[in-house]
This record gives sequence, structure tokens and C-alpha cells, in this order.
Amino acid sequence: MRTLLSGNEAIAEAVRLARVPFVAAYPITPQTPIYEKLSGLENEGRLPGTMMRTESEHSAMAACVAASLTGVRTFTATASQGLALMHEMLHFASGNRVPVVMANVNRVLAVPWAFGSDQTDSLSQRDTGWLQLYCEDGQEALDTVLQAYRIAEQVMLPVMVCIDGFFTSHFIEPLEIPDQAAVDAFLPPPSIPNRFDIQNPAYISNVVSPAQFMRFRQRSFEDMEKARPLIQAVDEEYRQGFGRGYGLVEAVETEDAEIVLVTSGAMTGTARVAVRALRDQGVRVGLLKIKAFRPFPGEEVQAALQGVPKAAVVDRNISIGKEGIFCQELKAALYPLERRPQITGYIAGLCGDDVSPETLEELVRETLRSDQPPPGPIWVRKD
Amino acid sequence: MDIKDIEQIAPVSRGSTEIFKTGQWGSGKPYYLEKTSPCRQACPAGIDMARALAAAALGRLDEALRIVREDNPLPGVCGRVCYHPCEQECNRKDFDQAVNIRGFERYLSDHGRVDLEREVPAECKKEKVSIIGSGPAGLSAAWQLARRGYSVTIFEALPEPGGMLRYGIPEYRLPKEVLRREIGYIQQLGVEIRTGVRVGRDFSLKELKKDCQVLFIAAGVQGARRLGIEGEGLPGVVEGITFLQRVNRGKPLEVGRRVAIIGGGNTAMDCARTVRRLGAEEVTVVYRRSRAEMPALAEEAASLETEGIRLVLQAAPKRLLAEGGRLSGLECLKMDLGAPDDSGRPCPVPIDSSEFILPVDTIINAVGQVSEAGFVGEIGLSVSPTGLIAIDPETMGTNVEGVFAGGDLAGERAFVVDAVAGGKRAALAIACFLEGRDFQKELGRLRIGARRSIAFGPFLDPEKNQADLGKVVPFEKINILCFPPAGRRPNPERPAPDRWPRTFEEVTGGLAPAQMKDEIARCFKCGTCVHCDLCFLLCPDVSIRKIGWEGYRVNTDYCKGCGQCAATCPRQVIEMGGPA
Repeated sequence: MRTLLSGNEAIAEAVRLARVPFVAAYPITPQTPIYEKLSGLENEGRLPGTMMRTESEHSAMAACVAASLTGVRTFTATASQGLALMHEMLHFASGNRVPVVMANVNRVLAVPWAFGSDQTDSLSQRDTGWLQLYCEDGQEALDTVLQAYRIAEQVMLPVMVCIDGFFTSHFIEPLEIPDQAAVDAFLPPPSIPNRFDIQNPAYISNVVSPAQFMRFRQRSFEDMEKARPLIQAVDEEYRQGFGRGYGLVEAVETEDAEIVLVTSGAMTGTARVAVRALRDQGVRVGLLKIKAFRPFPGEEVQAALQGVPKAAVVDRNISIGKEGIFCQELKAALYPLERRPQITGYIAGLCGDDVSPETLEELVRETLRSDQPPPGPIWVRKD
Repeated sequence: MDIKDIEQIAPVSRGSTEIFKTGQWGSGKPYYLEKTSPCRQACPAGIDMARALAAAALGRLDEALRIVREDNPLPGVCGRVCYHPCEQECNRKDFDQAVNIRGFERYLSDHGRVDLEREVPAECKKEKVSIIGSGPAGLSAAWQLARRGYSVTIFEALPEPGGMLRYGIPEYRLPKEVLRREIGYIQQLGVEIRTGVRVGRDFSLKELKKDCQVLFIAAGVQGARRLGIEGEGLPGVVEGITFLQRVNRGKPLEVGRRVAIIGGGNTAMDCARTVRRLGAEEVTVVYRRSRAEMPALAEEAASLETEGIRLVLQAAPKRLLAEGGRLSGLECLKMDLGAPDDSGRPCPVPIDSSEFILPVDTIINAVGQVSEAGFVGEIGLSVSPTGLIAIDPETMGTNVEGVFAGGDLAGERAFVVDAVAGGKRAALAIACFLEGRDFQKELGRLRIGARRSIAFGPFLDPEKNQADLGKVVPFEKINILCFPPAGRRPNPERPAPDRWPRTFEEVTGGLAPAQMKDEIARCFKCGTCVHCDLCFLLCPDVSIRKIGWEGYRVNTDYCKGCGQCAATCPRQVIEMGGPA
């Protein structure tokens, strides 16, 4: 069914389609419409289970972990401070290997207090053992949530699906809601083991020896590695069933490019317009959209940028003391290449600051003009 | 994927975490110790109302009544006529309104069942105690001494027992049936009450003393204090106590159409309201100070207005006027309030030339009573100039060994509950005397809070009643988050107040069960564990175990001493630290 929905509503629809019986959440801007929509669905009897209104995000995640241990599909959504508060429990989820799916609506972290989009909230959770997928628009968010359950339940690791606050979360776009039957075929009931057996009581999150700890961590690492081809395979299956797919990364006109613009999330849509305009002006520019951040698609990035002379990475996030986080990850991923591009990092659009196609066009031209990138990131500011 | 696969990738333990004695991490531990409610401290008789209300909250009304009777055998009486100092100090008054404690006491007496089997003493002692006077002091002492196992005989001059309760307080305030029932329980426990025998007439005090090991004199004061003014001997001048006694014996004195009562105490109120019921049309109470200084209960003074009785304040009788040999008028002087006198109240000072005359047919003198127990001189008892027996207020002992005294005749506060308290204290002193116990030591153990009242339960059974009597729970220690605001349920006025002047029916009704339930729920139960389970539910270390009616025990092996239980206990039963 084709309809008009915001990204937040699209995510709530995906949760309904996935027949998630347990939702635990706490409202926070700009995620609140997800919470409200799920509440509404529950009220209408369209949510096949319970929506637990917890007193904090920390508790919401704790509840999802506990529910998932009983073998059911679970969902929560948060943003910014909520995700930061949840941090401890994110480790509990991944360490206990529960396939929780969470939507994070990227929002800047205080202080100063603000509300616009900024990926630093979820990127700060890089090492919590969660898969992280960044979506460009509402349709991708809906499709990615459905895919996330398949992926999570197979690798037994939690998945975070990220969208940009206000841009994706609140913009209303025409999008396709898949049929329930088709979703049911793609996403059958889960076979998550029930770890709550009163006949055989057990204690989880228990103390282990260093040797055991290393073994569990290595297993998590290896399973995350296995998630990379799995994401690709699930996406491919989804594309066959529903006509849409996204890959771990998406490379646009990179083959003959003298420069590639690298983006993630909602900014990619803007970049597509900028690239089109530059191509029309005869600039050989390509675009690389990075969707999967964890696991990081190192091979895919290498394949897309091998032989490209220059890359300009635009980050809507900042790791203070280093640079943009995607830029940093990209550099590390390209290091093994002999012919790796010269990489320039740009910090743009923090806190939802507007990044127009013209800004990106100018940024590409500037990168082409300069011989050597500066050692740190270039801040794109209008003031 | 099944559970075995999961165990390869995520930690699961089927062992026990009990080997980790996490209790070793903390220093402070919580401990349970029941404490004393401020109402109990305020009650001269020391009734453990918080515990009684806690029992009632669990539906155990009979047990609640037993708890009350532990310290006062007259709950039906005090539940009606007491000046309820308990309610003045109720912690709930700082939250919304004080609990209707007196209404609860009455309810227990009206609805609870008394099981005397539980009061029968373990051993009967051979010593005999004789008590003169069957008023509240005598009855209270008799009840406690009988529970201790002593053989007690009460000697009463009037035809029925009860003293002022029987012959002073009018029927509309205290139905005789209630009093009869409560005296009945005392008799059923083995106390012999010999009525119609007057010491000093039927036998001497000396003879009485010979027949027993201990004598407790609680004969009360029945003589009227003289007005000391011209015309006091005129026909139509009546003594208040005599007047009330005659009404209560069913032989009321003749009174006129216009009656003035002189005095501001409960006797004056009782006389005024009674005379109104007997048909007097113009009833006036004359009191020399202001309303604030009236010794009568506020509710009694307030009912004067309801019953159309005039109250003339700051006026004192100067002389009585006669016409044709009969009383015709009361000449009064207006009074100013001067500096405080010995009683702490402002001294009334006559205003010159302020005389006014009240036309009256009858005067009732209710300015106070004096002793007329002449027999007290017989055995060399030390007596005050006003005829009161001198006692050591701590021990209730007189100057004669084995003779104790209490109540009005010993100069104690002239309220029912104070007489009950005196009787109880005397019972403890007498038991200590007969058993060779150190009275001061017992007192130290039994004293409630910082006041004069004592607990009798722990004297009879030191094993039970382990509450800390010295520690009174202040309002600040009540966790008010646990209590929803709720208005006090007052006792209903019944029959309608406009009918009061025409009936001797009781004017205050008992609470209905539903209202009583609300009122029982309102009580904080300060210091008494009601097994609410809050500590049990909130303990993050699952270290509080329930042990049935006994309450809870802290498992110190795992309690880390976070203090949540103590901080949230609604009624300060739990504290951190350790018993000193």
C-alpha cells in the first residue's frame, strides 16, 4: 500500500508488520512519535502484545533484554540522551546475545541543549557490540527494521536502526507499506531460545574467568563478522520479495570518478542532487553511501574507492580530539590499499544545521582544487 | 538455535551466587524494633493504640480490644467521655487531621469480644488487696492486680459500683449499661465488689486493713466546695454532685423553672444539661474566667449552646437573694482577668460596682468537690489541710506501709483516664511491694516515652511486647508518601441535636463499620509493624525474609546495608545501625 508517512511512523508500521509482541520504551524528542504511534496501535488492538511504558531508557532496554531472553521479538526506540542513559544496558544486550531491535533517531547530545540531527549519539555506542545501520529515508527505515529482525535473530546480536532526527523522523514522504502476508513470509515467527526455564533455573550475566571472557568476546566478534555477508544476503532476498534493497554500501557513479563524495543517513539524499548537478557541469564525481557502520563494510568501501584519486567525507558527527567518525573509519578501512584516495574530512550539519546541494557542490570543487588535505577536518559553517 | 548453542556464545550459570556473601561489603545493617506512638505517650493510661489499630486493620478486632484492655479496663467509658489527649498528639494531625482514636476505642468496646480466658493469671497469689472505692482508679487497680494473680476486694459505699462513672456522669454521655458490662468483666476475672458498705460506718479502716496485706484507697471526693457567700443555706441551693447522684439514682431533686449553675468544669456542664433535660426553661452557667480557661471538655461547653443553655462568663456569685424565704436571685460581680495564679490560669479580679442580678429559682453549686472521707484519719494517714491523702506521686504510697492511695482523694487530676492511670500505677507499686521488686527499676522499664504513663503488658509478660517504649516516633519519621490524604470520620451526633434537651438517650453515636474501617486505615500505626511488605518488596538484595506473624528477618549475609528498607518504612519500625 502506497501512503504518506513520516519516518517515525514508518518505523512503527514496520514494528507492527514484524508482529513484535513486546515493546518497552520511554519517550524522547524526536523519537516520541514512534512511541505515540505504537501506543496508538496498542490502543487500537493492532499491536500483537504489550507496550511497556518504562520509567527510563535504561529500564526500557533492561526490559527488552529480559523479554528477549524468554524468546520473543522485542523493540524499543530512543534518541540522544536516552541512548546515552541506555549505554550500560546496550552491553548487557549484546553480551547476552539477545536479538533486540532498536530504532535510534539521531539527535545531538547535550550540552548545549539542542534537538537537531547529529549522529554522535549512536556513533558513541560504536563499541557496544550492536549492529548499526544508517538509513537515508523513511522507506529505507521501514524496510531496514524488517530486515533487522531477520539479521538479529540469526546472528543473535542486537541491531540499531538509525534515522536522522527531524529530517527523516518528521518529514512526510510517499512510501510503500508491504503486505502483511509478504512480510510474514519474509519474517516468520522467531526461533529464539527461551532462556527462562523454571524447571532448570539459571543465572545470566554471571561472573566468568578471564579465559571464558575472551572466548565469549571472540565469539561475538566472529559472529559480527558473519553478519556482514548475512546483511547482504537478507537485503538481496528482500529486494527479490519487495523490489527494494540497499546493500551494506551504495556506490553511485564511482567507476570513472576523480572524486567521490562519502555520506551516510539523510544527507545522502542531498548528495545525490549535488552529484547529479556536478555531473551535468562535467565534474566526474561519484557518491558512496555507507549504510552499515557495524559491522563496518571494509571490503565494500575498498572496492568502491580503489583507484579513485580523491574522496570527500561529510560527517554529521564529530569525535573531538580526532575527526569525523565516518572519515576516521574510512581511512582505517582504506589503509591496506596501495592506491588509496586522498581523503578530506568535512564536518557539516551538526545539530541539524542545513547542508544544501550547493554546499556539497562547493565542497567537492574545493577538494578538487586543493593539493593536500589539511591534517584535521574542515568545518563547514555559515556564520 | 537452541539453548545449548546459546551457552556457547553467552554466559549462563546454573550454580548458585550464594557463595558471594555480599553482606560483607556494607557496614550498617537495618534492624527491626517496634517503637512507641505519640498517642500512647500522650494517653495517661498508656493505651497502645497504634498496635490496637494495626490489629484492627488486619481484621482482628477482638485482639485490638485485648490490647486496649491491657492498659485500661474501661474502653467503653473512656471511648465516650475521655478528653482524648491522644488525638492532640496524633502524628496524623500534621498530615491532615488527627485519627478519631476515641471513636475507635468506643467501637472496640461496642463490637469487640472480651476473652477473659486470656487474662487469667498463670499463678494465683495468696496476698489479699482491699480497695476502697469502685470508681475508675479502684477498678483499674483491681483489674491489673487481678491479672497479676492477687485476690482483690473492692468496698463501695453506694448501691452500685462505678463511683463517679455511675453516679456523676449522666446517662446521655455514658449509658449505665456500658459501665455495667465493663465492671462485669472485672468481676468475672475474680474481683469481688461489695456494694453498700461504707468504711467508717459499717466497719473501720483499721479492721479493713487487718484483713488484707495491702490497702488501696480510691474513695474519691463527693463533698461540695462551699460558695462562701450570703444566702448559701437557702432552700433552692443544691450541690452539683448531690444533684447528679440523685438523678442517676432515679430520684431527681425538685428544681425550679430558672436554674443557674455555678462553675466551669464537667460537673457544671453535666448539671446544666441534666437540669435542662429535667424541664428547666432558663438554664444559665456562670463561670468566673473566660471560655478558654473552662476546665470542661470543649465539646461539652459547645453543647450548651446546642441545648439552649446560656453561658455567662467572667462573672462570680456575690450573694444569693431571697423572696419570702425562698431563693429568688443570684447577684453576680463582673470579673477582669488578672495575672496568672498558682494554676497558671489568669486570676479573676472583681470589677467594682459591676453587680448584676440573675433571677433564679434554683442554684446548683458545681465549683468543685472536697473530701468528706473522715475515716482516713483512723490509721494515722498523713492528710492535707483540704482532707486529701498525701502520697508520693511516684509510688502512690502513703506514709503508712502497705497503704496506697489514688484518684481524686489523693489529689490526682480529676479526669477518668487520669484515675485509670493512677489505679494502674498503684497496681504496679502494690505488686512490687508484695513481691519485693524494685519499683523504680520496673518503672524505668515500663515508662512510656518521656511522660508519666506506664505499660502494664511487659510487666505481666516481659517476653511479649518487645517494643521500645522509650522511643516515640515523630511525624518527621513517618513516610507520608505511603498515605493518601483522607478526612477524619467523626462520631455521628444522634439523635438530632434539637432533640437533645428532651432526652437522656446517648447524644453521640458509634461509628458505622465502614467509617471505622476508613478511620482504622487512616492511622499511621506509628512504630508498629503492620506487615505491609514494603521492605520485603523493595529490598534490592532479596535479603529480607518473611517469618509469618513475627514479621521479617534481615539476612545479613547478603544485605549490603543500602538502607532502602529503613528509609521507606512507613512507620519507623526499621532503622539502620544496630540496637545499642
